[in-house]
Amino acid sequence: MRSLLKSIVTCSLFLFLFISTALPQSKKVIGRVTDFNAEQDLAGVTVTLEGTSVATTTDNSGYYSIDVPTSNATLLFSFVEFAMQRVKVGNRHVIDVTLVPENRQLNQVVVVGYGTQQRKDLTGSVSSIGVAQIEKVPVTTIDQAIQGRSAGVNVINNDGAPGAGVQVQIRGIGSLGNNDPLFVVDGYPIAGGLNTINPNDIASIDILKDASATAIYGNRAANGVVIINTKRGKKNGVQISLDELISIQAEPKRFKLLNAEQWGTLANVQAPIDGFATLPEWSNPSALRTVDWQEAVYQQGLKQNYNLAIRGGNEKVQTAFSAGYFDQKGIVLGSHFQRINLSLNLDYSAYTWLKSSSSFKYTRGDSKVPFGTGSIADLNSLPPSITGNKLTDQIKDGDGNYGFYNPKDINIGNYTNPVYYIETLDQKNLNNYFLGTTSLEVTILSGLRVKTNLGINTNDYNGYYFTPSDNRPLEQYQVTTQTALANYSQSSNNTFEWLWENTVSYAKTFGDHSIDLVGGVSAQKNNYRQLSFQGQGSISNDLRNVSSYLETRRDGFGQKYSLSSQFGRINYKFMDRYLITGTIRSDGSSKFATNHKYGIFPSGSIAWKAKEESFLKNVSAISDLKIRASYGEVGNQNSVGLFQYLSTYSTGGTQSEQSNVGYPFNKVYQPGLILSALPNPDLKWETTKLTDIGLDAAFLNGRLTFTIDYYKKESKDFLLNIPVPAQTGFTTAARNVGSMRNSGLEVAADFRKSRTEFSYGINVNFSTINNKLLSLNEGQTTLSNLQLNEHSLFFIGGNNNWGEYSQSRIGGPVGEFFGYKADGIFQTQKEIDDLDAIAASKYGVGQLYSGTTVAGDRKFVDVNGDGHITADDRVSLGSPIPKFFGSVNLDATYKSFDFNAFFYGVSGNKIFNYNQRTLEDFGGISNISQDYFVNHWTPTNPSNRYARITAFDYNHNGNGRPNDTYIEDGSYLRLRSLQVGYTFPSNLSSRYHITRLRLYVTGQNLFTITKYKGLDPEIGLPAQSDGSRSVATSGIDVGNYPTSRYYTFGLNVTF
Amino acid sequence: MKIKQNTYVLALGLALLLLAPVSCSKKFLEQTDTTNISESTLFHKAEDGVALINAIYNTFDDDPNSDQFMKKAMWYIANYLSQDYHNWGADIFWTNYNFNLDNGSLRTLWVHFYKGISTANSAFPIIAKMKDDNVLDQSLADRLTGEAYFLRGVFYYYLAATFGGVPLELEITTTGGGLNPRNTQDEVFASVESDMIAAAGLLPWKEDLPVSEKGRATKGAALGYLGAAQLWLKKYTEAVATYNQLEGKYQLLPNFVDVNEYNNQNNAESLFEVQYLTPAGGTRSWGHSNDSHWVSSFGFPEELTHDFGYDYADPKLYLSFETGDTRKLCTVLGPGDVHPSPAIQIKNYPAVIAGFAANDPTYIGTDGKIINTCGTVAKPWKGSNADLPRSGYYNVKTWRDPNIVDDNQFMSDQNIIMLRYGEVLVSKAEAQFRSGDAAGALATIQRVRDRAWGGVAPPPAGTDVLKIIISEYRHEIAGEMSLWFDLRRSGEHINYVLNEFGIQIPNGRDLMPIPSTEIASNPTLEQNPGYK
Repeated sequence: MRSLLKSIVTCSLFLFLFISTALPQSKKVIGRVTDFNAEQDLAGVTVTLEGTSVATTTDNSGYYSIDVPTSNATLLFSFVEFAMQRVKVGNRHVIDVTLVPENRQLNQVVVVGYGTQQRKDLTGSVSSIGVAQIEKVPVTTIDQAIQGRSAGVNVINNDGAPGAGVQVQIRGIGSLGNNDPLFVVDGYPIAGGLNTINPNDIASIDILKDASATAIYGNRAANGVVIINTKRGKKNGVQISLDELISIQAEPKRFKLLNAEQWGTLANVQAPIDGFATLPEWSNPSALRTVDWQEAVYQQGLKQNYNLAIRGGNEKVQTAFSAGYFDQKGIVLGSHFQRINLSLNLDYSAYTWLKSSSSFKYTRGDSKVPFGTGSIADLNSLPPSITGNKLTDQIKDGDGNYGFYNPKDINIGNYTNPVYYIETLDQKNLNNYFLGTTSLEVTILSGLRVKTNLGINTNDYNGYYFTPSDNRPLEQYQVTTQTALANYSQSSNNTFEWLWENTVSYAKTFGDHSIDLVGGVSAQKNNYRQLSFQGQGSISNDLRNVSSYLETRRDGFGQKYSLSSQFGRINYKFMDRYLITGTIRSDGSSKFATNHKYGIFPSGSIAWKAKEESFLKNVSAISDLKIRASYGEVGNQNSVGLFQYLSTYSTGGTQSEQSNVGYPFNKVYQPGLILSALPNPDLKWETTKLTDIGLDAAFLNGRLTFTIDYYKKESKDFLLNIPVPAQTGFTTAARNVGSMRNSGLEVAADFRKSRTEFSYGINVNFSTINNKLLSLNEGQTTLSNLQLNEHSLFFIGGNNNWGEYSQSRIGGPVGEFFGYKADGIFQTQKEIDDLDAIAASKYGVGQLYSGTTVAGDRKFVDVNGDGHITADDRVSLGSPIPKFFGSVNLDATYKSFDFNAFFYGVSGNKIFNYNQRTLEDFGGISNISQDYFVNHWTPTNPSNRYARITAFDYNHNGNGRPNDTYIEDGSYLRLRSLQVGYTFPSNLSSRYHITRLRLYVTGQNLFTITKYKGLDPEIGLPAQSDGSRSVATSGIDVGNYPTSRYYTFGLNVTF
Repeated sequence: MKIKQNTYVLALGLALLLLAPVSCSKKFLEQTDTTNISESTLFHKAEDGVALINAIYNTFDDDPNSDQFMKKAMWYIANYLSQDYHNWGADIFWTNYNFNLDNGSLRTLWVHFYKGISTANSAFPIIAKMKDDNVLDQSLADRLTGEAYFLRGVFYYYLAATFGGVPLELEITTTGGGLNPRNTQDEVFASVESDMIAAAGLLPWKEDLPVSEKGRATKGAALGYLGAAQLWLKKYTEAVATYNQLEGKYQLLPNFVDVNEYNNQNNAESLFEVQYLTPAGGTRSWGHSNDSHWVSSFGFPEELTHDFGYDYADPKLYLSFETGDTRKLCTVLGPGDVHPSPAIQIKNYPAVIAGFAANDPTYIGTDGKIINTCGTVAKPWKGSNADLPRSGYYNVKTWRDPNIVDDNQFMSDQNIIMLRYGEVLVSKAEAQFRSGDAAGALATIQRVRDRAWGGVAPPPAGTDVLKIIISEYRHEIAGEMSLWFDLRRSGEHINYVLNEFGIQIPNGRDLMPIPSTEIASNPTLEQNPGYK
């Protein structure tokens, strides 16, 4: 609340600043504003004196009154959903105006690669998100602003950690490797770093979806292109805006777990059965103190965001400056994200024929997520008591001592106290980011322009990570194995990238023919260097320098890559109704060997503006109708690493490493050197062929617009490690193999209606995805876990092995869950004996149906009917890819109030609830859920869902192995955001020269309708312990950092 | 007017600039990898060439992906197929020749040797270039090239001895390679012969090798494998001539027990020996360096190590030794036998000491004292599983490392002899006999027997010289790395196994099956007839 107070004070300061002066009065102009067919008066229309901040709004009867200084003045009339009108005052004192509804979509300017187009002339598939939509939901990163706003674009929050990214997939999963779209910010194609851009600076986001639109970005376009332009200064005027928000994030839901007494009692029961040792203090469970790790670690989150922008200019120079500060305290203790943004956009028209345009963005960021983003499940597993610890039985006592588990106990000895870990951790992740572009454009003749564009993009990272030495186990228990040395690692990296692009464009209309050409060349080069050190053991816990620690690892290298491209596009229009676009890009990349350096990416599209035909021209029911079709090829080079085409050599590590390739002679080791992979000079990019057929229509004078697209996207040549004949000397090699198809329908509809006091709009969009793996390497039919290693958080081993949890097979969707089918719980030993007898009769004495199974264990289905449960009984358990996703956005304004509700939903996907498995696993040994405790199978409490409680399940039946017990329907409908705003009446605010003053409150994630039993059905990609994420673990709930409700109070002031 | 002019100047300037990013694009897209070690950053100094060759030797080491190459692939094939030793546990296919086409040992053998072959193949052009660039002098370049030829020959030797003909890959392949079909067995051995001739011409004799390089391929080793390849090719006269070149260069050690003694590695009898080492500070347990091996641990009785004992000897081997043959207890130890090496006394093993202290009858000798024999006649050591007992007989050739104490330190760093003079002499005898010199053959055999008896041995029983030679192979090299290969080479292996063990090897199953994974990835490979 203190921050809230602060913001109000800050705001007030600004108010005072602008109270001081008033303009000299000279003349009063009055008038009335009505809508285009004079149906009714328009209230709330903003009337601005051009070039000043003088403004007013119309009253409920549509009347306004404004003071203008001279006859030369010009008034601007603007109102939501209507075209803005500019009226010269002249000698008039009464000016009545009729506003015409704007066919927003048709006149909308769409930013495409290397240029802009009017939406009505577009032949490709492009979704646009305007500033008005972005402002509806308080977002902290640009990708969040995209979520649900565009058909065909699936945006999933990875988790709720501050600063955590999202996964953006345009038209499905198109690659087994990298699926990120290309982001182009102010004309600069950036690699990563999207969450360094201040969302408050965004003017427009255009999402290029089909090949016709994306092919001009060639080798980086296969996953779609997102073009982001930031706000620029307008001519003749100045606008100062201040945006502030404070958001409170509610604590997440908690799992109901056992308390100490229940757990202690259970441990005493299980110890003799499962053969583990108990601690003496457990003998009296009622005396154990419960520690609630969830309560200790979860907290209320707080988010603050302040943005100040000054934008404006004159005929020659326009500038836009903004400063932003963002700070988020997460809902997990210690998690924190902070960002400072500075931005300057500068446009200078030196002459009518010479123009320069620059954009500079600086960001400083710091983030801290000490508990990891996917480790929350650990909290549920920790035994709920540390009673017996010699220091304290509390998580942290009044003297600042942290309790810990008795290190002598082998069963729980390895568990640490998360609060101790978080609070003693010293961590910094500082990032300095700069993006600058500047261009010079010369208009040689009318329509012929030459432009050169230079950009640089740099990022400097510096961070460290420190955990103190811990001698408590030694000092208090004389146990040496768990004492920890102080650990310190420091790392930094630096990226410097430049871009140079030159383009020529020419636009001309000859009679019925119009052409618009653009051609150009581009060069881009990226330099990256990094250095890191890891060490342990220091004389003091206060030291943060590398020389005080004994090195355990050091790492440092540099690399470069470059791109060189030529591209061109032609738009041809005949009679304003037949449109043809052709695009080609030749992309050269240093990632590939000489014979594969260049790729050619062509696309073509046509459109027919049927509305312009004579037979439709006068059909007033249809205000617009256009049919589009496109086809093209685009590439994806992001899945390929640098120099992967080269053969490299390896020493295999040092003498003591198992992988060394050296050899001893005369009992003295001599190092070796070996070819580490087969040379692959044929390595190339992934290619995607994209077909799109679309229709744009508008009805009711443009109030209702409608867009539908059918797409088919075929991608091939994924870079996979495939088996090769061992006679090559290698068993696997990276080759371009396989193909996949995504197809689906995208529908977007928008309806708006404006009335004097009440205006409203509804926007609906939805998409379907049908994903199918078409081929792999010859003879290969499946791909395990998308060929990536198991997730670091999964339990691996024994009968409970989560080493393989997904399998992509030809003909099915990629990343399908894979495991056993469960068939309830064995109720009697006889059931098992009967099955064992069958297995023994087939395979000999002692052969069993399934492991060391007893009554109460989960029964798995012998799918192949061979009499026992083996890996061959695993089947597909459903796909994490939704069949359908979409959103509904409702807007309304009533008098001075505005409302927005934004729903988002997905359907047809499955979630693999690994976290549930953890809650039902007594482990070796850990806490379990109340639900499991109460309902678990016992002879007297038979359950057909919950297995018996057993420690070391992995040595027994493997009740927790990947199986369909944990597969749940992942469909949900969520009210992502509900916002109510109030704009102060203009007569009130204009007294203080405030053009607009708006307050709002927003609730995010207020409710979710879902059958999913976990905390949150929005499962992104869980992070590995090293922070990396991959589509291979889509849809698996490992106990992600949960997303919870936000309550936001915000303020927008425009001066 | 001024403005107009400027427009043109600027436009012209920009137009020129336009093409600038293109003009240098060719070079612009060439980047150098400075992170990984590649051909461009290596081989500018002699050590790199040596390291490249060292890595070929590393083929014999276990690697993390196939932990048990020397034991589960090489040793199993050399000894299980001749039936003197058996697997304890489920792998009964070694006894009945009913192989699974996905057998891990066979695949490991195939993958490992081809890895070695490709490593050698990649070295030839690099070493040649380093010589041309004067990075390597003539003599070092010759030695390194000779080593690569030798090792490639050795790898093909064991591949062909195991599978019959295999595809010959004599150059490094790139993408899409590795699709050569199988060559015939004779073609492969001809390639081995040619590699060994090349190697023998380039390599120094053992005595000319600096001490620091002990363990490298030598001219003698190349000649030893050359003779063996010539035997496979039935070039008997040439084989005798080849073996004759080794006369005086190698000696039989006077006492057979010394051959495999830990403190007698790289001895005068050894032609080629795989070198092992536990690095300073390194472990001999799990997570060991790959320069140590499993061969010892598997051959121990469970009673000594609390674990392992995965193979054991057939008592028929024990009983087949003639009286007075000192090789018997150096090869197979039975109930009541004391280990013949003074360095290895059973009573010294920690498991025995602890067991005896705990009054465990397993560890009490017949005299009531701590046991020093491999179990007793009354109570043989057959392992803890009464349902699946071992024979009580064990291969002591692999026990030699006295440092192997228990299951916490089970990896051995004792070298493994692949070819020694004892075997060479028996092979020479076979070559002599086959080229018509039976008397010479018997004289050569007598040299081997005399040493076995520690002086003068009685003449071998019977008059069937071939049978005498086969028996000598068995008693000289059982439990080492050659027996099955030499038996199959002799062509007598089917009769031998039938006569000695009463086991009829199914038709065609004396050749091992080509691993199914290999046929799947290279469809031109044809499976051996016995597995179709």
